[in-house]
Amino acid sequence: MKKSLKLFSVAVALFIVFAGIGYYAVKSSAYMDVSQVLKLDHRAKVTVRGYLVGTQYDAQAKKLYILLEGKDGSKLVAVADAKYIEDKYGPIQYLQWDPNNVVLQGIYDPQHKVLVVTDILEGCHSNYGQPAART
Amino acid sequence: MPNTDKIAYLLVIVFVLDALVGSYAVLRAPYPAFVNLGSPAAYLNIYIHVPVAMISYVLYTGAFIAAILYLAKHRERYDRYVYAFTLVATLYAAYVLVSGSIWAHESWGSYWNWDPRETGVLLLFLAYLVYFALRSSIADPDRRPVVSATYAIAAYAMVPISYAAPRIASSSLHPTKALLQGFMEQPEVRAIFYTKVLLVLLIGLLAVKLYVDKEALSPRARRALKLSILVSVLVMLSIAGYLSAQYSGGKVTRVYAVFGSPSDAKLLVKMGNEFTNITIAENLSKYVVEGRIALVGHVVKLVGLQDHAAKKLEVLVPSCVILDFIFYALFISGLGYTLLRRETSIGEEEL
Repeated sequence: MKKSLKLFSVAVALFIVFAGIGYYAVKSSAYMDVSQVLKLDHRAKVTVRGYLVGTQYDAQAKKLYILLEGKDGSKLVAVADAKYIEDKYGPIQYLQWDPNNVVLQGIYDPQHKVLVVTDILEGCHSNYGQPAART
Repeated sequence: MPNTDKIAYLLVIVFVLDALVGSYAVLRAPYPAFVNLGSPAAYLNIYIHVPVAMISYVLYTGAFIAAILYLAKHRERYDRYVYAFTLVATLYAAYVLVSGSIWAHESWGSYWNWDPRETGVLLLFLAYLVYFALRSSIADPDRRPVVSATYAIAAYAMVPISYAAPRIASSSLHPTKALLQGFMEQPEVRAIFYTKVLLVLLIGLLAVKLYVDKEALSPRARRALKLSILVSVLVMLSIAGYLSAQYSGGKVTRVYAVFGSPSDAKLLVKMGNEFTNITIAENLSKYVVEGRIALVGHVVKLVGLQDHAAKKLEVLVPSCVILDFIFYALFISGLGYTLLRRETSIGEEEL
């Protein structure tokens, strides 16, 4: 009985350690908000989530400019290579956006306060509100 | 008939039913009509990937309970259950990681994003891989089950963490249960999805029970199990082959936009490196959902294509679903191998 209690105590202690590590790892993998990215003072690869204020396409430079807003209203300009985006997602003018749910991955340049986008990730939350169909 | 044989014959039925329901799902099941990225039909993975993910948590919970019982009562049978639950659950988790990555590439734009749920499941999988390494490293047969059970209890901490990951993190690409509810409440979705969940659960629980008692399995039951696994895998691979074969006999491309009415539709598709409009002769009213032509994002085959006009259009199941289904067949065969392998009197393994 005493031995079992000792073993259970060790198991519970390790459980708490695992839970702590797991919780920290999961919490840390959450996407950054725009306001958090703007506070960075060094170049870094980031994944940022924000509200889509608008987009602008520069056909000559082949760049897509994306304006994201954070929870505190701060704004971040992100620039994406249009060709990369079109190869992956199709013509820019036909991209479907869920403005509440835009996630961008890229390199943040604190000197120019610009995010150079390497990928556009979008959440699928809105999809489950869609009608079911077999088309 | 011994109980072990009864369980084996039940598993025979469940394996075949699971293959049939899975096949029906990829051929006929509904999916969201409009999505932001990738093919809407990629969400057929809901019927393949999600049930296995859910049941992996159930099986790890089984290992957790068995480990507590072992530490409390020190009976060898409980240790066997800890090992069996952990082994089957880890096979399930391995499939979840692979199938999830393949689906993510289509619907989220890359195979791995360090999304909180992805991170949680990976940590869970790695934590339980350590269980096997730890168990194998202990030479003392009396200490082995004690240390293993203690570790299995500790590692279980990763299960609620990975389940609750989208809520723990302030953001995640994985939807929460509340957001899924709308889609899951649709009758046909519920029927297929929950049938698949039940079958995957039965496979897991019966596989665990059989693994614990497999030495008692009769040769006839063993043969029946082998045959059912073979039949299930062949059914699934045949369906995957059939879906892959649909890619031939026309120009395969993706739809990026739809213009016009169903009787006079133009699709914006990619031909080589260029985006181009294609007129479809066929009436597309069968693709109308809530007043809109639900074709954007779909991988389609254009039949009779000539001079920017096609006679017919067929919506194809995307490769991510076909691949996930093939991997599911491999997963079932891997599970079967785990159940059926045994040691002969000289310690060699045979089926």
